[in-house]
Order: sequence, then structure tokens, then C-alpha cells
Amino acid sequence: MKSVSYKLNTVLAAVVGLACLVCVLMRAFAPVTAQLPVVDIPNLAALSIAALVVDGYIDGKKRGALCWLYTAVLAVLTFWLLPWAAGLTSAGEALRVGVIGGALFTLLALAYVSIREKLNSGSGNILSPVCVGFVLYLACQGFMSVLL
Amino acid sequence: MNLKKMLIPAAAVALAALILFVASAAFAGTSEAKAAEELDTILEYVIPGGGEYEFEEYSGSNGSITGIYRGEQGVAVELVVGGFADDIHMLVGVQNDGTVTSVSVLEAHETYGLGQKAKDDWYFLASMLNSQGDLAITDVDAITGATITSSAVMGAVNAASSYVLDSSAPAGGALTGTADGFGGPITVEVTMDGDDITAVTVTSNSETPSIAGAALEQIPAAIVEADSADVDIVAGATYTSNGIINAVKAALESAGASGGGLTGTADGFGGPITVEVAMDGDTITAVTVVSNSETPSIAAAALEQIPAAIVAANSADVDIVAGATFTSNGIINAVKAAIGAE
Repeated sequence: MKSVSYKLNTVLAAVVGLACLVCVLMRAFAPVTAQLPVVDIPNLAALSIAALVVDGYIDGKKRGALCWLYTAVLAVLTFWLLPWAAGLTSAGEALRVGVIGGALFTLLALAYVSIREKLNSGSGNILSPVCVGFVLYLACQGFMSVLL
Repeated sequence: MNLKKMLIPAAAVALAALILFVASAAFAGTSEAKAAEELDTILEYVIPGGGEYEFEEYSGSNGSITGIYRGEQGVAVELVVGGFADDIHMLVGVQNDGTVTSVSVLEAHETYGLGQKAKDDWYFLASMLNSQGDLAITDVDAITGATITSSAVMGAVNAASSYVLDSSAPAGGALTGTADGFGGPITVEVTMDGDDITAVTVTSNSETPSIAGAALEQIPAAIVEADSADVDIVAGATYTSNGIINAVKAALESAGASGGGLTGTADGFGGPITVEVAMDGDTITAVTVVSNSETPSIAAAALEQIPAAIVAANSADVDIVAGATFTSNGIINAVKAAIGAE
């Protein structure tokens, strides 16, 4: 039986935190004409997938199992607190972003882990995590156009 | 279950939030200064003629207008309108004569590849220039597959232009009338609130001040107090008194000549709908849609039934016609605007 790993949420916090920090710096120092990235579903999906890919490279094939409930709760907290602390979302919309981001991340993690488990059964290419992430992002975009 | 391992990601989230909070607070001043500089840069392009401007709070009834930046040759109207996915934050430059000179979408979170194009689709934005609050969806180069976003942006442009046109019109939709006094024509401006005369202002006259002074002061006040032009003249200033009284009557008759109707405008589906409402005291006697840009095959039932229903109910609070919600609400809101129910 695999031991439970909680590293994925730490990586997610690092990735989202870094992205928010970049936004804070851009807001203060980027030229007037620069456009700040907005907090929306495509960008939340991109950050989630980036965290999954980074986590995939850190863990390699020795990946532990995930506690999905805890992963989801922490993901909600991450997307709720970090953009709000960075001043990218108002207090009112922060929770909404948190819930949407957390749900999105959990679903993407579920899909990503399932695909990667399959890939790990063979001789995986070093680019596998990136490829899986890219395909997931494309799928996410396509799915959003259906939803919206 | 390893509690220590479980706490690591939670601590990471808390630490990241703390770092971001400190960074955000530390750079808050710089960010605000940059935001102000950014707004200045945009306003330089958006306000007709550019140059110095003053910010004015908006206190009117249009809920989408959030502020006015007034320059010498025109204004930039700041608006927040509901789009398809979220609110759209805009600045619209309007000359003092109501002509739209620039449209800038500051912030929009619409669907990528569709409504989000409203932010930078040159053909769409340019198609709204030089309008005067009278745009219909058929007049603009709307974004394909994003009718709601296109309509929202167009509505904001119409609202901005209408704001300028309304604010340059005589206050309160005042009526004007002219009649001969002793020294020449006397022109008055009569402000109405429904059937009530709320103000009479003599805007020009050629009377002799020492003789006509009392009449110029007392007659307008007497008319407002009596809510009628049938008031006593001021002794010693008969011609001036009668001049003012006749000018007020002319102003009131000019409203009567156009049907005695009150007019109001509101957005329908395809653009603004203008109605004329005829009143007899507190009773709505007729509602006429004088202009609209609706799709005939869809809106016809609403255009026919809603005015009749309003007259029958003697109220604008009537049921909408199924399948023509926007048109129905447009007529209802235009009537409400006309009778001052909003």
C-alpha cells in the first residue's frame, strides 16, 4: 500500500504564490501599457496544471497516494487566500474563486494522476508530464467553451 | 496518518498568504500611483481634446454610470455594465454635443475568443464612434457569437452619450415659451414635474428694470404657487406681467402642441425605445412608441400589446409579452422614465 503524500498542495501553494507575487510586482512596476493577468478559469486551470507538472517531476515514479478530501480543502484555501492576500480579488469574490479553483484543481489532479499512472506503467518519456499537462489544458479550454 | 506531514502544505499556504499580504501592502502606494498614471494616460486619449480634467460624482438615475471626467471639449463617462460572464468596465469619450469620440473597455472577463474580443476589436469599437445615443445593434459591427456582450457595450455607449445630451438640455426637460413684453420679447423656461409647474425662469427680456423688476420677480413665483399661468398682474407693469404670463402659456401650449406628451427612452433588445405618454391628470390616456430598433417579427406583439396594457392598467407595472422580454421591458422602462416613476 502506498503511503499518503501531501506534497502536491505544497507545490500548488508555491506555484500560485509565485504567480500572485509576479502579479503584485507587475501591478507596481510594469509599464502602464502592460496588462495584468486576470483571475479567471483559464488562468486557474493553467496554474493548477503547472503545479501538477512540477509535482510530477519532483516525485518521478515514486509517487504516494493522495488524500483527495484534504487535497481539495487545501486547494480551496490556496485559491481563496493567496489571490486575496495579493489584492487580486476582492473579499466578496475571493471565496468564489477559491471554491471554483479548488474544484478545478481537484478534478484536474484526478485526471492528471489517472493518466500519469497509466504512463508510468511503461517506459515514460521525460516530457510525459508536460505533454499530459498540455493536453489537459487544451481539454480544459474545450470544455469551458461548452460550459460558457 | 502523519499529522506533521499534513500540516506542511497548510503551513505553506499560510506562509505564502503572509508573504503576499506583506508584499501587496508594501507596494500599495506604488501600485496606486501607477494606476492613477495609467488612468491619466487613458483619459488623455478618451476625453475629447485631452488636456486638464475634473472628476465629478454622478448622481443621476442611470445605475451603470459611475463617474464623469469633465474636460473642456467633452467628458469621459465611466461605466460598469453587465456583460455575459461578468461586469464590463468602460470609459466612453463624448463631446459636449453628445457625439461619441472614443470607446475604451478597461476591464472585461467575457468568454475567450468571443465576448472578450470587445476589449480590442477595432471594427466593433470604431463602429460606435460618432453616434449620439441612438445606436441599435444593427448599426454596430457586433462581435460574432457575442450578441449580449456587444449589446452591453453598445448600451453603455448610448448611456454615455445620452448623459451628455440630457445634461446639456434645459434642466428637468424644461419647456420654453416667448411672448411680447413692453420692451420686446420675453422668453421663459418652465420646469414641470408631471402636471405641476415647479419653476418658471425668465431667461431673456428687454424690459426696463426699474419698471419691470417687480413683475419679473413676482409673476414667476405666483405662477409656481398657483400652479397655473392665470395669475394677477403686477400693477404698474402690465405689459411685462402679461408678457411673462403669455410666454408661460406659450411654453405650456408648446407641450400641448406635441400632444401634451411626456417622452421617455430606455434600452430594448436592438437599441433605445422612445415612447410618448399622454396624461390627463394622473391618468395615462395614451402610450405611443415613437421610435425603436427592434426586430419586427419578434417585437411586434410587445409593441402593440404593452402600450395598450399600460393604458388599461393606468400603470407601467404590467406583465411582459412572452418571447419579447427585452422589448417589453424597454417599453415599460421608457414609460416609467417618461412619467418619472423611476
